[in-house]
Amino acid sequence: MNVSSLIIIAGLMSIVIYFISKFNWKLGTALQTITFLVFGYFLYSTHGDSQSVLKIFNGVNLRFAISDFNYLFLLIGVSVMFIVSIFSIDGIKKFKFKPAYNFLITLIFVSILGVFGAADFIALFIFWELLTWAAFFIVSMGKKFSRKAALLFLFMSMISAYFLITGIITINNTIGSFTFEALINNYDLLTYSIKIKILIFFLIAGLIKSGIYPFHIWVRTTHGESPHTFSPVLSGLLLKFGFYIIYLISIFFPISYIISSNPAKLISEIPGSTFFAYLGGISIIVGTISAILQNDAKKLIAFSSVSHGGYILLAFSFGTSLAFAGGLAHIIVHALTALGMFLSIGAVYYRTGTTKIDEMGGLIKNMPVTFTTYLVSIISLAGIPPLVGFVSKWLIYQSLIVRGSYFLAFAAFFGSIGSFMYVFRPLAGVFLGQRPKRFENVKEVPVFMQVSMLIVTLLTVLFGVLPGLILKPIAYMQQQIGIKPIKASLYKLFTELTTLDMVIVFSVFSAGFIAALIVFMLFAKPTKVKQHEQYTAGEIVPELQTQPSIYHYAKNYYKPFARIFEKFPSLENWYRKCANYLSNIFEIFEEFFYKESINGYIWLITLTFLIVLFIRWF
Amino acid sequence: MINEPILLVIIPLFSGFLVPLIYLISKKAIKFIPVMAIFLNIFVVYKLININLFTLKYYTIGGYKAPFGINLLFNTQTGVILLGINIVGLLALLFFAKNEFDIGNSFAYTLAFSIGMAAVNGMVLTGDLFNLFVFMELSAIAGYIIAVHKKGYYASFLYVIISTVGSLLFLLGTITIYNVSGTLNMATVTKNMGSLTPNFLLILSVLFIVSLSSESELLPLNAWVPKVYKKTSVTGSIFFASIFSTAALFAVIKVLVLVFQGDYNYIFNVLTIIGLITLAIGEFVAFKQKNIRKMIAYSSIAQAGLIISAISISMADGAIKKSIFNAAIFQLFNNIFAKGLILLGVGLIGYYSYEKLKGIGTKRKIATGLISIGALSIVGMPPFAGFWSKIYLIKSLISNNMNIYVSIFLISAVFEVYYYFRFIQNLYFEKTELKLKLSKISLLSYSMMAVLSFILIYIGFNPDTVMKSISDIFTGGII
Amino acid sequence: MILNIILKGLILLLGAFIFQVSLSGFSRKVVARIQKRYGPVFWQNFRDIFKFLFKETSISHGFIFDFGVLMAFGGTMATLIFLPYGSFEVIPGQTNFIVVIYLLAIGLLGMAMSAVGSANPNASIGISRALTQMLGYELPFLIVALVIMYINKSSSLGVLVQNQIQNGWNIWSMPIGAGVAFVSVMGMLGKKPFDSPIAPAEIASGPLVEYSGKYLGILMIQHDFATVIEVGLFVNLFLGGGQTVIGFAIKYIVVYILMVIISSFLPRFKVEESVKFFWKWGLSLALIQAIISLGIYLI
Repeated sequence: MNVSSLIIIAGLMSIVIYFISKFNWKLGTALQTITFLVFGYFLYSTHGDSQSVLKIFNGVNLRFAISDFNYLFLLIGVSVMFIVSIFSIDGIKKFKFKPAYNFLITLIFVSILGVFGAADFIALFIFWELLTWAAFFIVSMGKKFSRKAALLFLFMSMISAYFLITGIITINNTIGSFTFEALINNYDLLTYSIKIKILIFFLIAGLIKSGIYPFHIWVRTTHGESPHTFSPVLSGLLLKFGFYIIYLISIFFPISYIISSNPAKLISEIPGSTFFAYLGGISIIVGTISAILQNDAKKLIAFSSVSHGGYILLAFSFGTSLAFAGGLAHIIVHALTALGMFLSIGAVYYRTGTTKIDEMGGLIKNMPVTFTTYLVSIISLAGIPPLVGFVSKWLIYQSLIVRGSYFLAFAAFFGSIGSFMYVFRPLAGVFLGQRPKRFENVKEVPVFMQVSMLIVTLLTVLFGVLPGLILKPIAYMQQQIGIKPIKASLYKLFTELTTLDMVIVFSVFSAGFIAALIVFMLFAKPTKVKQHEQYTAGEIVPELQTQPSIYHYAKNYYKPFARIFEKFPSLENWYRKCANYLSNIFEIFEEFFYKESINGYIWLITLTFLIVLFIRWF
Repeated sequence: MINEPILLVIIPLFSGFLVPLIYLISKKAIKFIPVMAIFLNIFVVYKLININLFTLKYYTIGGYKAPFGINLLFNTQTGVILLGINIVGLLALLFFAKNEFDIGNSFAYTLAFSIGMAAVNGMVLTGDLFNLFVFMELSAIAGYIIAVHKKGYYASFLYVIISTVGSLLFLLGTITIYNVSGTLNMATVTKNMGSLTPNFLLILSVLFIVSLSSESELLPLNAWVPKVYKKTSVTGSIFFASIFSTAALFAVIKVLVLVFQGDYNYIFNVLTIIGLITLAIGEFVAFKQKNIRKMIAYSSIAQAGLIISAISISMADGAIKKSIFNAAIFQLFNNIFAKGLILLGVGLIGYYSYEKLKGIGTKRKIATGLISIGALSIVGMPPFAGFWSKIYLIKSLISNNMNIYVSIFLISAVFEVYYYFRFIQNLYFEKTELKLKLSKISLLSYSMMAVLSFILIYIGFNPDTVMKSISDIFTGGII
Repeated sequence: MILNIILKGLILLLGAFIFQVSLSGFSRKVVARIQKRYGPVFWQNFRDIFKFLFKETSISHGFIFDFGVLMAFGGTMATLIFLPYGSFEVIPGQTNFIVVIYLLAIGLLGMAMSAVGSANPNASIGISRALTQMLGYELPFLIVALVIMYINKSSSLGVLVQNQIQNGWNIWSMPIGAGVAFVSVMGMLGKKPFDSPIAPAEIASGPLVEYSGKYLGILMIQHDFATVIEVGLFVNLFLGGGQTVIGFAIKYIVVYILMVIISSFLPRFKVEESVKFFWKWGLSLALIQAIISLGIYLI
């Protein structure tokens, strides 16, 4: 099955799903899930290259291809959409525009196929724009402030799209064609200055879309305000589009050109860039610190996405094959982690109606499955073995050690350790601690949502213990596109510095746990008490029985830390001031040029005459 | 006999004369006259397009050969643009016949619409300067009356004043050219323009630039645009946005290409700057609007600025750069349908401010959906028509190394996307006011909107065919 | 082979338990002498631990309370396996520094979950402070460790120890870095002046407030194991490990007693003050050390 037929079928299915959802929304969402599964199966079973051409616009041939350079991205895209779609079978119950939502989600699926499967820049751009406006409408469907958030998202996305199209047309200007193949074959026609220009355009477009500092301002509001079944797609997938562009323009094309002109040569070092590595490092630090200071769980995870985007950018711009593999692995890892965290917070919202951490508490008794998903995701996010998060972090650290760059290593460690802080905050505030009375009867989420969360948990553990499952495809991809592949076996990690056997780590950890369990069981059985029976130094505290939630420590959880950063300048405020300033200038234009009285017009005419004469005379 | 472009002017004009006669017989019947006239017009245009004439041909009137008589210039590409204008005119007049016939003095407005259509077709076709002046005056007079539809007295008054200034300056310029070259035919005039002194040329160019800007909504004489668009009726707004402005822009382009052929860098550079300033100011002011009609008015101003600056960029340095020129004409063509669609849709709903239009999407699903298609097309989203015109424009500008213009264009495009999407968002995602009275929209109106959307989607999926059919209007040669 | 590893692991656990608990008992005597009193017998800590373990009653606040304790204890024991102790390595060749750092985190995370799961606000405050402080002391430590790993081109502790035995101890070649790491390890252990997470008089022992009976006993053992890991890291990185277990033990005792002595006469930092301290002095000194070492290495 080639991509163009998949796109056409998906496009038609979107309309079918729309009408079925109007009739019965559960059926429509279920149909959507099955569609995604089937498409995923077709993609998975396509081994080797496939090319196809889509001719729906006459005179314009859109080329698509499934090949090693984009196979992994396509699989990630389809898998994420599939898991979120299972979640949506119950998760969109309280939405207002369900048929339109399903229709737009399927359109986003089409655009994922289109962007990742494109072999032609025009095809890439068409589906990029389709994605922008479909995502805009979905984000607008959220809560009260989601309209502004959607407009901000749109604004930044359009800037990114216009940089992209400028870069694309500059390439077309020199080479005369839009296809990837033509670019690879004629890469040496690009002079150095044009290469720099194209690189800057594509990179800025990619950076804005990925939410790297200083373009990260849209990430917080958009993730925080968009509907709860769409945030995982936003964070797990849409941010990756920017990285795909960066990967194409800085890694894939230069290397493919070198390969095609010198087929026997495998590249061992990729051309790298220090500036972008530092930008990634700053992004990690800013994202981590901002995440620690957030009170809304979704905005916290949004900043975490900013910080992990910094990791990926760091890895990509390092220029070694180990770092590149680490970056790719981190894309997969972050997709899984963001899925897990957003799905569990979405499940909590489904039952409680809020995502603010200090309003909740003690939900572990009510929602154990959600808690487990969240716990596994944060352990993976912090990079603790034997879960999948450790694999990518380890690869990135090893490459940092080999290269010895101190600021970047500091940034990476900062992100890793700081992530303990911010992931723990929702855990402590939402799931543990005292439970407010109004949430006493909260139930666990319906079956399909639990199923999707369990899938994410299983994958996280599976890929962690057997990292070869994700590293072998990455190594294969590296080999095919010409980078020296990392060594990867099913459960061992290899680098120049050391090798690591994940099975040993996992078994030692399990052995330790079992030993602890034995010691624990050896001694007397404990008595279980209710949550409100706490140590109060002998004093009787009646509020602990009647209103235990006032003793729930979740407000300003990191106040001492926040005090350190009280006086820091905020980039968001700066942007907002600029926007207000511009807005006022526009109002002045209106008053100046379009006044109410007739005199204004006559004097405008006179002014024009004078200016025109003035220009001519000088 | 039917293959004469002059029919396109005669039929509506004749129907205008018929109106008072039929009025004596039956006051209600006159509303069908312009509709039938334009319907015949479309038939004629269709036949003319099928001749497949891709170079400009002179059609003489009254047997007087060029350069002494009045000539019409026609080729297939002009025919396509005329087809667009007439289709939108037909839809607008159908709407008028159904919904707005009884507002005010129906006789006057029917007459004005017929004469307006005649004048517009004439403006697009004519090849003679003074004839252009006549048709412009005619369309202006029709415009004065149309602007008053629904009591827009003050707006119309402003329009009268500004338009008169423009017309007078144009007349002055025409007379000067006649004095110098002895003929009024646009194509012949260029031969004699070279003998003018630079100062004289300067005055001439200033006269033309300022005068033409009033009809075609450029700075400095476009202050009437927002007021007129806001106050006039739905039919009137469609007329102004889609029909008059397009024809006026087309006429301006015609004058620029045919009369100022050659090395007249000064006028083109100034026009470029004026166009870019108009574009920027139009988008920036539209950004702050909370009334949909004013928003479209400023957007219309901005699009006019964009097209004129693109045309002048393509004509600087002597030879015409075809890719930019064709892309600008394509953009002009797309705007006819998109603006008409949005204004028709909003007019059917009946309210124009953001406050009143909040959340209408839940009550009038189909209408809002079709309006959104129009808006998506103007901002250039695939798979609609505007996407391709934007791509062609960017492509041609970059391949000619016009980097500053591309950046100004893209910056203003970002703002345009923002406010159009804010408008769509307002339609769908706000809570509606429950007490708003909405009139029912008839099947005919829905089908009119559907026709326009279908055209936009058709152009979106067939960019190449449409582009080929309007390329090289003036550069294919003249016989 | 596997039986061999299991046996070695059990010997290690038992040995570390006896060693550290008696050492910490001995350190109580040292502190007492500084404070001009006699102090308890040096096997007092054994008495405390066994008293708690064998208590008949203990309180549990739910599943996560128990699970967290198990995770902490199990994780710490697992981490213990991955360090080299002189010539004694449980699994030869598997002594990666990054794995050790991360598995330590499991211990902290488990205890944090369990403590907060008890729903006592004092515990939550304590954990919040502990996490904040962790951001402070980990960074300079990791930077210095990075320098060492970069110069030695390896991230395996066994290889680092071997290199030091051949080339001389790192404490002589990187004195500033050793000082930074020393203070960081004091932070890791939670000794004054960095004990605000525990802060006995302020937040009622912080995370430990709800533990009693066998839980407290297990956590005390876990704390001792964690001390072995952390001080053991310092000894391995800077003092050359040891060619035999005895040598390792002697260096360990010296470092530990030194830390106890220093912390016995210092007051307590506030949490944000300790973070600022680590970032201001720790990071800058670590950076200076990095520049110097890199310079020496390249030249």
